[in-house]
Parts: sequence; C-alpha cells; structure tokens
Amino acid sequence: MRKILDYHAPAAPIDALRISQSSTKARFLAGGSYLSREKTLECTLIDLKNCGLAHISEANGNLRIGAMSTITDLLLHPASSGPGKAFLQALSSTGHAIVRNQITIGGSIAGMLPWFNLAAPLMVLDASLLVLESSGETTISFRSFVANKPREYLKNRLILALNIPLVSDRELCFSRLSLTEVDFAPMFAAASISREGETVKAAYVAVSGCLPGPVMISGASELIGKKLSRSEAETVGQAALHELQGKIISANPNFPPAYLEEVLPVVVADCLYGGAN
Amino acid sequence: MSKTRLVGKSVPKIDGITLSCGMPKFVEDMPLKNPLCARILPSPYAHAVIEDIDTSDAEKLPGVLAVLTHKNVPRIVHTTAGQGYPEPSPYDTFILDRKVRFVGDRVAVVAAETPEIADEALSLIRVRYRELPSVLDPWKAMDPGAPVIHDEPEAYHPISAKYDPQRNLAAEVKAVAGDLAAGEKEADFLVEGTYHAHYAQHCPIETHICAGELDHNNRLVLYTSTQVPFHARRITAQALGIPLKRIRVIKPRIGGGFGAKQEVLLEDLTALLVLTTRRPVVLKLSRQEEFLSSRTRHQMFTTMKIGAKKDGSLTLMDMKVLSNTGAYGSHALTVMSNAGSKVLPLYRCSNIGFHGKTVYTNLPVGGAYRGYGATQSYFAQECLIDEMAEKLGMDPVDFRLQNHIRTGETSPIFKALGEGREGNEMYIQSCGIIECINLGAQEIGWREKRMSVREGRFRRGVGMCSLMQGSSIPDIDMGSVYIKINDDGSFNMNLGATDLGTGSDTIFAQMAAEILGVESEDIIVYSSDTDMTPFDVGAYASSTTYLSGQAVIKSAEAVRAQIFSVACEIWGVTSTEGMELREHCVNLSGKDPILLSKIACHSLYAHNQHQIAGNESHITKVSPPPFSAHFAEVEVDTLTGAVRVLKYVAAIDCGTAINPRLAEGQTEGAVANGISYAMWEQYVFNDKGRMLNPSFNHYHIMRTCDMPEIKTILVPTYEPTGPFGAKSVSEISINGGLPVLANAIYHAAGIRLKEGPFTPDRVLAALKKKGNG
Amino acid sequence: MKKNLKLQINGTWKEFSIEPGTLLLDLLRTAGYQGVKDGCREGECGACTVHIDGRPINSCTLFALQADGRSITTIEGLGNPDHPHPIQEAFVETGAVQCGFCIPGKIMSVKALLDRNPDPDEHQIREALSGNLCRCTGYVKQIEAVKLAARRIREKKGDHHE
Repeated sequence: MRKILDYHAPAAPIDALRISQSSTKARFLAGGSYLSREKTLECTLIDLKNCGLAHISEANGNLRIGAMSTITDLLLHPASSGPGKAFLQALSSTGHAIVRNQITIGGSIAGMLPWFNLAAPLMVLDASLLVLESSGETTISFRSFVANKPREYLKNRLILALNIPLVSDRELCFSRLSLTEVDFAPMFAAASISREGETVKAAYVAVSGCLPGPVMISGASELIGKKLSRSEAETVGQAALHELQGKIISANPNFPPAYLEEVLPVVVADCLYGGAN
Repeated sequence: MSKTRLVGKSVPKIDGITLSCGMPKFVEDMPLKNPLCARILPSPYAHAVIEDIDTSDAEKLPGVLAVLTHKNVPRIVHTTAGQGYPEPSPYDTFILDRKVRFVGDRVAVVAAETPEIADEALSLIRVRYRELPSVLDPWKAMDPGAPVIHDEPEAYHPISAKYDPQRNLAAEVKAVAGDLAAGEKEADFLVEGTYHAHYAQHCPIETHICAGELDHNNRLVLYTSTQVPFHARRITAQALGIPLKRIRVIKPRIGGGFGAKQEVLLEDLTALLVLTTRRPVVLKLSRQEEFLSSRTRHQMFTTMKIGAKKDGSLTLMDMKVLSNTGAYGSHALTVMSNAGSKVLPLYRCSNIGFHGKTVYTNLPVGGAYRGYGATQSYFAQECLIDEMAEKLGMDPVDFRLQNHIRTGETSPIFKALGEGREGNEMYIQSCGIIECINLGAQEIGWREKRMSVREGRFRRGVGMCSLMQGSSIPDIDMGSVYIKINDDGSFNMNLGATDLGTGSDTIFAQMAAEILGVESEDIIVYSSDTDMTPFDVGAYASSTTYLSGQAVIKSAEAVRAQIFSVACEIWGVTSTEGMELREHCVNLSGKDPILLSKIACHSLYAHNQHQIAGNESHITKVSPPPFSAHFAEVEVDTLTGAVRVLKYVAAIDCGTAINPRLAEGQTEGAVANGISYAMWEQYVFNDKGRMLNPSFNHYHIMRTCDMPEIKTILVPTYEPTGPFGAKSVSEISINGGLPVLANAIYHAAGIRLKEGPFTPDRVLAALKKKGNG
Repeated sequence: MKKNLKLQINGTWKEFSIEPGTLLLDLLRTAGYQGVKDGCREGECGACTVHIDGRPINSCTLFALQADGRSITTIEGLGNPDHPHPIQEAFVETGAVQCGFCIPGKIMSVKALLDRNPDPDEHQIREALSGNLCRCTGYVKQIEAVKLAARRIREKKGDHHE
C-alpha cells in the first residue's frame, strides 16, 4: 500500500536537507521513476526539482554533473563526451528511451540499484560525489562511497553533484551482458586504461550488476607495463573470477549465478580488448 | 477467380485514425458514473485450504462497499474457457473456492470507492491457510500418491472425454492411423527426441479488464475486454446462476488478446459486485496479476519418433505429448489435441500416432494462446525433421519439398483427430507451400549460407521450418452477420465476430462493400454486443476471416437480392438477370443506373415499404490449413552463449489476402511473438511455485531495439471454400520461432537445443556439453 | 492533505487539487485525457507516454506534483480525426495500428524524435521507440510509418521555404 503523507518542493538543497531531518518518513524525490513504483511506501516526499541541481558543466578539467540531471540531459550535453565515447554509450545503454528522460544521475546513485550501468564506469573514472551534510558540503570518492554501505552514508546527507576528472590520455571501455538491449544487465564491466605508446601505464577494471554492489578488480594492475592483448585481457578476466568467485548473485532472474560466474572472465576480457578479436 | 475491386487491396483500417488520435474506445474509457474499484486478493500458496477467512475489518473500512469470499458467492462449477457449449474443458472452477490451487489463485475480491481503499481493504482480510503438498512437476503429477488438486466432488467433464481428476489427469487423447510397428520396421532411419515448450504469457498491452453497471431496465451491462462476448454472457449467467437474458455483454475496442481473452476471468466477479453494490464497478488486472493469475501458454513436452526410408520417404510419425494445464483445465483437452491435429498432417505418411495427456499441477493456468498447442509441438516435429534430413544426407529444404502434403491430398489424421474428438476428413484444395519454401530460401540466401564456413568465436547459421494451421473448427464454429441499408445508400453491418485489434471489422467491410458496389467507408461496422449483434463464437481458432467472412458474403448477397427486387419495381421489369451493383448504383444495360440511396428511400418511404436487410449464418465442414515456411539467420557467441537473430523470413500462403497490409501485420506480429518466446520470454519459478519475474522488467517481450530484419512474403493461393479464396492468417506464424531458431543455432554451432527459451546460459551449457562429449 | 498544482495541458493552463501521491497518469485520465493508456504502471510499456516540455515521459511513474507548472502534451494535443497530425496519418496508412492500445504513447515518442531529428535513420528510430512496447505488429510497419511521416513533414517544411 502506498501513502504519501506530504509533499515539499524546497528551493535550496539546505532546505531539503532540513526537511528530511525533521521527519523519519521523509524521502528525497529525484526523477521519481523508482519511488513512484514502490508498492509499499509511506512517506513525505521532498522533491529536489527546484533545488537548482540540474546542471552540467566542464571546468578545471572536471565534468560536473548536477544530481538532478537526467540521463538524456547528459546524452544531449556536449561536455558529456569528455570521459570518452564509451561514456556516452554506457549512458545510452541505461534503460529505454523514455525512462532515460526521467531517471537522474543523483537518484540512480542514491538508489545504487544493481542495474545502474554507470556504476562501474564511474569507479574506473575515479569519479567523486559532492555531498551536502548538516555541517556543509563535502566530497567523497565514488569508490569509497559504494564500498561503505551507501544507504547508511546517505542518511542525513544529500548528493549535490557528481564529479568526473577529465584525463586526456585515458581510454574508457565497457562490455555489457544482457538478454536484450534494454534488459537489466546482470553483468557490466568497465575499464579505463592509460598508455604510453602501446605500453599500459595504468589500468582500472570494475564490475557491476552481479554483486550486492559494484567492485574494483585489483587484478587489473597486472596489465601495467605490458602491451594489451587478448590473452592479457583474459588473464585479468581470470583474476576477476578468482576475486569474485562464490560472491556472485544475480539481479536478474533470467540469469543463474553459476552462468554469470562462468562468463565473468569473458565479459571482463571483452571489456578490455573487445569482443570480436 | 474473378477480378475484385476492394478485396485484395490494402484499405486503411477503419478504426485506425480514431485509435491513432487516442479517442476513448477501450473498456477503461467507458463513461461510467462514479465507478467502484475492485481488487482481488491472490493466494500466496501453490496449494492450500482456506481454514478461515475473516473479512470483518475490511468491511468496516470506510469506502468499502463489498467483500466477497467463497462464503458469500454462489458455488456453481463451471469452466472459464470461452468455448462453444458444452465446452470441451472440464468443469473444475468456482467463482471463489475454499481451496487455492496456485500462487495467484483468487481468494477474495473487494469493491471500494478508490483503488487505495480497495488495497487497504485487501490488507485487512485475515486468512488462515492450511498449506497442502503441491505438484510442481508435470511429469510427477500422475505418480501414485501425488496430491490431488481437484478433489472437489463437483468436478466433471461436460463432454464425453477421458477425465480423471483423482489422478490429476485433465485430459487424454489417443489416435492412430496405419500401423506404427510396421512404420518403424519399414524405416531405414529413426530419429527421436523430447522437446520442451515452456510457459509464456500473451502480454496484451491492455491487461484483462471488465466494467459493469446496471442499465435503466435493471439489467447487467458488462463492458469487457474479451474475444468471446457470447460465451462470456453464457458462462457469466451460468457461474452466477442468473438468467442469461439479464446480461448484456459489450465488447468495445480491445487492447490485444492473443487467446488470453478467450477466457471468462473477470466477468463473474464484476457482475457479482455490481449486483451486490448496485454501483458501477471496474475490475482490472495489474501487469503482475496478468502474469501470475490470468492465463498462459500450456507448458508442453513433445516426444516424437520419426522414421524414414533411404529414399527420403516417411514411414512413421509418432507423437506423444505431456501438457501441463496448471491448476485449472481451461482448454486442457483441445490445446493438447491440436498439438497433433494441426501439426502431423503436414507431411505424407501412412503410419501416424498421437497420444496426449494433460495434467493438473499447482502452477499458473494454461489457456488458449495463439498457435494453440501447435506452437508447442512444431518445436519437436520441425527439429526432428531437420535431424532426419541430416541422417539422410539431404538438405532440409529438399527433404521437406519431397514430403509435405499437396493439393488434392489428405492425411489420415484429419479424420482421426479433431479438437478433443474425432476430426473431419479433408482434402487439401489450396496449398502454396512449395512457393513458400522456394521464395523463403531465396530471400535468406539458403544455398550459399548452408555452405558457408562456421568457425571462430561468432558463428552464423541458417535454419528453416514448415508450418500449417487450420481455419476454424468444423461443424462447431458459427458466425452470423446482419446487414441493413440506410437512406443514403450506406449499410449497417452488425456482427458478433470480435475484432480484437486484428482488423477483422475492416476486412469484413471490404467484403461487404465489394458485393454491394460501395466503398468500405459506406459499411458501418459494429462488433460485438450480445444485445445488438447476431451470434458469433468469437475470435479464436483462426476462424474469423474464413468463417465469419462467409457469413458476411451470404448476408451481403441476401441484401443484394432485395436491392435487385426493389430495382425491378422501379424499372418495371420482372427479372433481376443482368443486374449489377457498381459505384453505389444498380446497373442494368439499357437502363439508367439507380442510386442505392434511391433504392433505400423507395423501399423505406415510397412503395411496398420494408427494411432491406439480411442476416445469414455460416458453418464449415472443413478447416483448410494455411501453409508457411520460415527461415532465420542467427549468430552464436560461442564464449558467452548469446544468440543474435539477424534475419527472419516468413513466407505464407493464407489463400487470398483480403487486405495484404493487415495480413502482413498479422504475420509480423506473430513472428515477433514467436521470436520473443523462443529467445527471451520465460516464467522463472522458485521451489514454491511462485513466478519470480512477473513484470516487463524481467519478462522480456520484443522491443524495437531487439528486432531482427523481418521479411514477410505473401504467397497467394485460392481456397474454394473460403471467402474470396481466403484462409486464416492469424495464428500460424507464431509457430515458427522455436524450431526455426533451434535449427539455425544447430547449423551455426552444432548444438541441438530442446528447451526454450534459448537464453545464453542454456546455449553455453549445450556448447560445453558438446565440447566435452 | 490535498495539494494544488497548475499544468499547461495541450496549450491550456488548468488547475487541480490532488492527493500528493497522485500519479500524472491518473490525473490526466481522470481529467479526460483518455488517450493516455494504462498498460503496466511500471514505466516499462510506454502506453502512458506524454510529453513534458517536449520530452516523452512515462506518466505512470511520475507524481503529478513533479510536473507542476510545466507544459504537457498528450495525444489529444496532436490532432483529431478531422485534422490528424501527419504521424497519425502515416500510422494508419502503413498498417502500423492493430489493437491501437500502444499507439497514442508510441506516436508521442515519434513526435519527440521527429521534432529533434527530422530525418532519423533506422537505428535512431528503433532507439527512440525502445520504450514503447507493442505486442500486435512486430514493429515492422510502425518503423515504416515513422519514415513516411518524417518524409512528409520534411517535404511540408520544404514547401514553406519556397
């Protein structure tokens, strides 16, 4: 059963935070696509639409994305290609055409739903969150945010913006396993690689979708100092399997966890080196 | 075949523009005065007895007008299957019962002022269940000592059919033609296998919905999203124990059915709530309820043995079917029978066997679903035909071309097996399968692609299958049509045939207009309303075009004869010979044409006044099959098991396509559903019999981004028993998905998939098994 | 606790007083915009698609209050049988309409696509319609309809320039 007790649309983030702290039943409302579908919900809604959080800009080598920016806002903004073409592709693999007009970057991060395809890319891109708490604004790296009970962290806090550092020699790539184009990908791997000539200088790999939360694959560091090949990519895939074996769950009932475990090395290798090679 | 003016033309669908403009035309758009919202309490258990149910708190909630449970509704056994009377489905259902038989079975229903109050009322109903052991595996349903799902004494079968609920046997059929043992002995090669066609849901975008109110005469009016308005009226009257004459069923526009709405699911509860509250009531299933509680495709295991001689001729086709009807026996007998009767006659063979059993389980309820059993068993037959071709060293195309049935031929199975009873002997009078196969093979590039090299990670392959279906149920189905003329020379055509989005209203207008010498816009079509339109069995069994179309022709001809009589009067001639209807006029050489408006006004106002009108009915002795050949190209990722469908070709002989665009649309819709079923759609159950993915989030029906290239080829033939040479088109093309894609995957990667859907995990498991084996 | 809101629906400002949990879908249907269809209430089928400030949105997953002060276009705002929009005409002509339940929502997605991109390719059309499920047609004729409508609208605009 759903009962919406009250609705507020404050004009500033600090007011939103204050209202949320005055009631245990308050919920921030971003795009609404998730909250509006919850079948059992008793709460006061704090709509963030008037808080001025729908902005996208590029400044000082960073892409800054206001929490209320929708996926479509991002897809249409010229600055969004900053982190690479793959970032746009990852954005457009989020949900279907209509829902992308509604779901927001902040709402997706706060919900940290397993099918949030951007989680892995944001980890490897070393993104950070600008967060408002009672004492003022603070910054937290996206990696430590997801690693440390994000829902707990967000009690009494409000995500204001996402920050992605734009690094010129970094390539982003990803691969996605799903039943159909619009399916919730039960496995999504992303990597960022920096090279000097053909030699890998830095490499980060993250996997999302199949675990309680997205994770970094530490085995990616094996690539440093080497030339990237399919077999090196497969080695990282095997390392990923080694790290995640037995921990895999499936956010999508169509995919048995045992299958996901079996193909994890392939998905990671495809991410690093492409599927067709 | 004489030249036609409108038949064979793609005239726009007559309701197309109003639908495109979003005009209110569906059940939920009906202008009811302050309607109540009804909601159903579903069973959380697969099998349980309701020991106690306390509704007092729910009843006390302000805004709640009625709470119904098994304690306060009539207990009259019936079937929900919307079929002819007496229905060939067991009577095993009550409006509400003291026992629940699957997760999602209905326990109680409430009517309240708002949806929120109705939901709150449901949460206040306290039920004490005693859980019973359940049957979740159809193979174990008939084991000695298995829990008995229908232990109520009232359950029986209204027709003489094998029915043994004490053993969870909902239906059993056997038919043999020729000598199976001899057929096996004659064979140089035998192939055999069991194929599993899985659970699936129709997924009409409009879920089941029924709205009801009392009219000015205190009669019950039901606006319902149904394929079977007349059966809905009859079964509702039966279930409630009220006179049929008190009920009027109106079918407005329907948001898709595909068989799910050949079922009387909500009309009984809606009617009772209206009678109880004396207020208008709307009962609509949520998307989740549509998956859990409405109807599904019968899960079916088809075991088949095929024998052939070295020369490629078939000596044996022996099919055994285990069908799972779930908790209730809706369409249990007939879907299973059709698995044989619409499939086995496709090939020439003297020794044919069929043995089908349908069992009860504590799983979601099977029902009518486009393809109706044929979809399930074509999977087995067309894969095994490919296996046999391989054994013989023949190309699957050539093997089929050699063996399929042709014009002038019959199959012993037509006579031996009908829909739950003996069938009707039938000789094929129209068959375009050779052209279908040849044109389809050409379109996909069969010969080159069969020879291509398949190696590396991503492997491509092509597959094919042949198909047939029927056109209506002979000796049972009846369609009736009423046509009358109006002052301006337009015509009303009222008919029971139920357009559920297929475009039948449009093609009937074309047929009537063709005969009456007017344009399709001059025919005002109204379907269906049990008070206003003559009887029709409804939209199922691929009968609408073929059967009701003949009734349209007969009625139009009757009207034409009356028009000619009036023309005789006006012209002062005695014979109608040489008269023709053309361009809104009666024409006779040597005379000035008379406008139809003049004929109408003469007959209504001037002389010997009467209403020019015709009302004719049609039944059929035969059920001529449409034929089709499907081809597909796929790409298999051998590392992940992911399969992409690249191209799909459906070449179809539906006789004359009355409206080619609509016929193509029927084919493309069925093809898309067939691909989607074969590739993605599935019910994932937990070990308690609960479906885990009852939403479009995790139950995937095809979206635009998932489409392969789809190519439809209409192959015209002329069926002498059909209207303007037409046969059916709606169902056949859904049957191809499973076998054609399985055959293409086999060609690509050498793995033979025998269970759908072909999800990456199943494909990868098969690849691993092949690698190791 | 009722809340007031103002919406500009198909060009006309209207005021409503609603429960805060009211979804935009229910508000619109109750207010008489019944071309907005209710197919799943989970944002997956697209039958309830309307435009908010020109962008297609699932009205079933949006609280009505979120749209306060904004401009909404429903299928009724596009055309009527006497004066249909070229997209509506193209859908009928190509046979893209079967049961018609998904059509109003789908046409709203097409409208948004063509407003943004008057000459979309096959891939862009498929992408833009990925949120609108149809179980009847297999989409083949719907994609054809979009191409036809796009061509007609372009030609019409070309005429104006001359």
